[in-house]
Amino acid sequence: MTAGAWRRAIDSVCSAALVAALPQIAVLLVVATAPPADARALAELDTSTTAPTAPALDVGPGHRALAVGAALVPGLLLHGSGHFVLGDSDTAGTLLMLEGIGLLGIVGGLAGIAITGASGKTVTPLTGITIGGAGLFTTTFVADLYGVFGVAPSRAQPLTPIETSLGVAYVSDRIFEYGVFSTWSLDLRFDDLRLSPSAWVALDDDNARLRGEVAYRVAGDSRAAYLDLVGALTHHHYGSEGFAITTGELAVASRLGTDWLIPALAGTFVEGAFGVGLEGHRFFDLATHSATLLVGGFAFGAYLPRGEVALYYDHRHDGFAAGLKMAGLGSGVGGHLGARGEWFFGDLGVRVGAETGSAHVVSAALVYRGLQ
Amino acid sequence: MKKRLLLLLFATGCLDVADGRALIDLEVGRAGDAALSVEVEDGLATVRGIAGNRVGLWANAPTLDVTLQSSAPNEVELTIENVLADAHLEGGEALEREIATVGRWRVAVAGRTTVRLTTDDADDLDPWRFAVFADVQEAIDDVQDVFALIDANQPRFALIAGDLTEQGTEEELERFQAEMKRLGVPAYATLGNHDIGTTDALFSTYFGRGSSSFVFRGVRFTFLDSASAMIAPLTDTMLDDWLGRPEDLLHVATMHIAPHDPTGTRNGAFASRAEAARVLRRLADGGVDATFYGHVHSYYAFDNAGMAAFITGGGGAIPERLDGIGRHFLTVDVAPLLGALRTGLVRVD
Repeated sequence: MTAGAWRRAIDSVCSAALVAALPQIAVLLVVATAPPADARALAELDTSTTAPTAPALDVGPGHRALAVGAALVPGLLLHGSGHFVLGDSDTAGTLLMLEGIGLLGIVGGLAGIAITGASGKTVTPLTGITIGGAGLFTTTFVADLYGVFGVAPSRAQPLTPIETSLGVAYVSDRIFEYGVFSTWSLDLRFDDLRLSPSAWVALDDDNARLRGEVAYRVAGDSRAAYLDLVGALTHHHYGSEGFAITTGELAVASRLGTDWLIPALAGTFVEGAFGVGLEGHRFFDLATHSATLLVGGFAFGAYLPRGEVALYYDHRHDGFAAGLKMAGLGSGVGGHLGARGEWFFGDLGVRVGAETGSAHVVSAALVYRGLQ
Repeated sequence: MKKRLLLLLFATGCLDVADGRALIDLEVGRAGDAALSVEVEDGLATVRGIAGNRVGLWANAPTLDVTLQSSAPNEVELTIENVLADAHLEGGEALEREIATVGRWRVAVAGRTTVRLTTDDADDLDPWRFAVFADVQEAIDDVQDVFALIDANQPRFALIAGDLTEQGTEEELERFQAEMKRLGVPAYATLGNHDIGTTDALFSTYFGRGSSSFVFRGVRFTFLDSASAMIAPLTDTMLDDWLGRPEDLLHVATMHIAPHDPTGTRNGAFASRAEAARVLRRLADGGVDATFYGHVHSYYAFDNAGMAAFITGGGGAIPERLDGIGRHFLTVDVAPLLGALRTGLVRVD
């Protein structure tokens, strides 16, 4: 099998797995990796705070299967249908209401963009509203689907002063020659400050993405709920192609436990981020020009007894995954989709991720966290 | 609607959304059977019809080399739409024209016969002018306002940087061609994201290749299909033939979606910033002097990778507000021997 054939095969697999069935796969992943109740109780012994609880619903397997079906149809359109079938009308109503707000955000944002002709003076906040609306719309669907499985909630892993990872990644890109990368990251935490350098270096091409991130915690003191102000500087070197992109950015990033609003979804979380960046594009020995970049996105995730998993949308158009390739009206606008997960066994853990946009990206890394 | 939703879902995961059109491009300009066939060099015209001893082409370049092949000696009536008013066919007998941009010729075909559509000034290097516009879309009812001003500014021809239509339907494409018959000069087009609303093949059936290249009066014109916010790998390889030719005194590249949007947070641009930079690097290395885009419904003059860049999306589609631009097009005066190019903004309203 040629390298091109392998790449096409990986494209096909990634396309099907990450896009067409992304939410379902993530939910099944969580459910499959969740231990049974007794083992879960043991696993929770090494956590530091009281385990979250969700209102118990006494339903049989048949009833739950019906709810899973309802979460898909008509749940794809009427979010909360799964919980409604389970008899949890409060959760169903809240999910439906949030879906409505999300729809309003999408329609309002897009209408604003259309009315203003995507004016450069208003497009940034209007895009933010649209992304926020899409975030609510999407996460309420996934939350309904996840919730009806009745997975007992777990809590967030503790924050540690040091966390470092070393891994590999594969980028399936039809335009660029690179494929295999070594990856490294470090998180250093000092009270409310986090310093996070990271690097992706190609093993088969002259390409490297180096990033330094500084985050100040405005609110929250755990992994479960926070509001961070994040500044970052990224340098992406495309040596074979003769250019480099350097990006400075500023964003707010947050995570909130879903049970803050919906008790039945204890053990899950939502994330949101929004910011802007300024890129310098340097064409070696030729010219330099600049461009702005909208950064941000949203995620829905669930805590596992030993880690967490999440699905996300990232609006970035730089990096390896960049923006989604779509024929027709939406061309160029969307960012990329992704899924990530991490599992810890004491101080060591594994972290995996997959993204699809202009390229397909899969990654895996060993993680060490220390000085708890 | 359901079909579109499904297509949308699957399209989001595919990386090859422009490959189909790139492959279709390779077939543009060829048609016929054993009795009579036609082939246009480099696919610079699309075959609109071939029946009996009649062949109809839609030109997407001012000069064409057309090869006709007949199984028996034959007299073919060749109609070429979208031609310069003074274009003549070497090897053909001119018939009376009813519309300035629609030429008709009688060609005696014996076996394989090649004729050349050209003009007396095709190799003239004196300064001259062309026009550029884009994004007519739903404003087709008012497009004659634009066309009248284009004619008034006396360009040799016009370039269309995509989005001729709102949804790329047959009716819309036919309507646009019908409206073009009232434009006094030909207009050569690439397609935009709105023009691929139905199928990949429809636009090329009417207007020709999304990606092509020709030379006229010392200037090379290269069209690139960026309607899916990327350049297909196959199109990228075709660029090798069009870039870096020292004999080209000036080189102009035209595509619909710009690699970079001057308002980056809007990203009316390529899906990938890195792919955008890669394409710009190739164009700059290949000697492209200026780039013209549509997609954003306004006018921007900026710089990309050291090349002059212009967005001119003022054909009539919902305009960008708060910028004071509105409907417009560009005139471009070129002086090939000086390697110089100067644009002028012409407001329609």
